[in-house]
Amino acid sequence: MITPQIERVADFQMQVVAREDLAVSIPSPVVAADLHGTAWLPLLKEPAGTTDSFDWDSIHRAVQEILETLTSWVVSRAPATAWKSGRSSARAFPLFSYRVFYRLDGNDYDPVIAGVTVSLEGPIARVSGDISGDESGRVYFDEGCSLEVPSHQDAIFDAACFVAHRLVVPGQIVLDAISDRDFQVVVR
Amino acid sequence: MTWLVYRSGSGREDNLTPRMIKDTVGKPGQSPGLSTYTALELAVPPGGKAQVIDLDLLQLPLRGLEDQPFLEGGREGHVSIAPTTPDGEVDRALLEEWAATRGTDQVHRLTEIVQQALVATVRRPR
Repeated sequence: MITPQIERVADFQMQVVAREDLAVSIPSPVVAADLHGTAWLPLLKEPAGTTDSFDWDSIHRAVQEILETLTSWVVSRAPATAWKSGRSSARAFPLFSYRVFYRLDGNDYDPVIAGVTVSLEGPIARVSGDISGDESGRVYFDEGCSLEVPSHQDAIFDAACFVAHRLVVPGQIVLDAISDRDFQVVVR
Repeated sequence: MTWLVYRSGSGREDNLTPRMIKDTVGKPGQSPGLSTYTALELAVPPGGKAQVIDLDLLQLPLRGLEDQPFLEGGREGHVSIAPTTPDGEVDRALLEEWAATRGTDQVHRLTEIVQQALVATVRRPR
C-alpha cells in the first residue's frame, strides 16, 4: 500500500487575468437579460445547428487519451483514488469531455473535474478547460486553457488536445483538491 | 423577458440532477428541487464557475420555483427547479425518481430538459 504524500499548497492563487483580456462574446439578448459575470461560452437561444457536422467522438477519444496521463499520475500517488471518465453536452456546448476524481475521504460532495469544453459560435469554436469542483464551481486551474479557433474539425481537434495537455501538467492540483482535509460541505 | 438563473459547478449530468434528501425535501419558504440563484454572486464565490439556465426554455413539467424569503427556510434569490403537477404543486414522486438517477449512468429525461435550457457557462470575476 502506497501512502499518498500530500503537500498542501498554502498560498495557491489563480493567475489574475484582466477582465478585458478574457474571451468575451455576449450576444445582445444576453445583455438585455442582465447576465452577470463573464461569459466564456456562448449563450444560445437555439441549439447549435451545425454540431452534427463534427466528429465529436474522435475529439472526445483524443481528450480522454490525454487525460489518461493525468489519471495515471494521480492514481500512482493515491491508489485509492476513484475516478470516472465521461462526456456531456448541452444547448451551450456540444462536447464536455472530462475525468472526475472523487475525494479521498469518501465524501461524494463536489468531486474534482478535469475537463475540456467545446462550444460553437458561428465561424468560431471556443475550446476551454479547467480543473474545478463539480458542484461548488471552485476553479483550481485554468491557466492558458481557453482558445478560439476556426470552427473546423482539425482546428477544434488540435485545440482540444492542446487544452487537455495543459490540464495534465498540474496533477498535484487534482491531488490536493481531492485530499483537502479542510473541505467543508456547502449547504445551499 | 428571459429569466436566467445560475447553477454552481459543471455542466455534467450529475450536477444537473438533484440530490436525494438534500434536494427532495423542502422546507418552509423553499420548494425542493435543483438549487439555482438569480444572481451569479449568490451562486459562486469570486472566480467560481456556473452554468446559466434559461428558465423560459425549461419544458414542462419542470418549473422554476422562487423561494419565499419572508419564511424561515426561504432565501432571497434562490430558485428551485422541480417537476410540477398540473395544479402547480411539486411532483414529489417524479422529483424522487429524478434524484434516484444521480450518480448512475442513467440520464433522466428531466436532466436532459435542464441541459437543453443550459445556455452558457460563466465565471464570476475575481
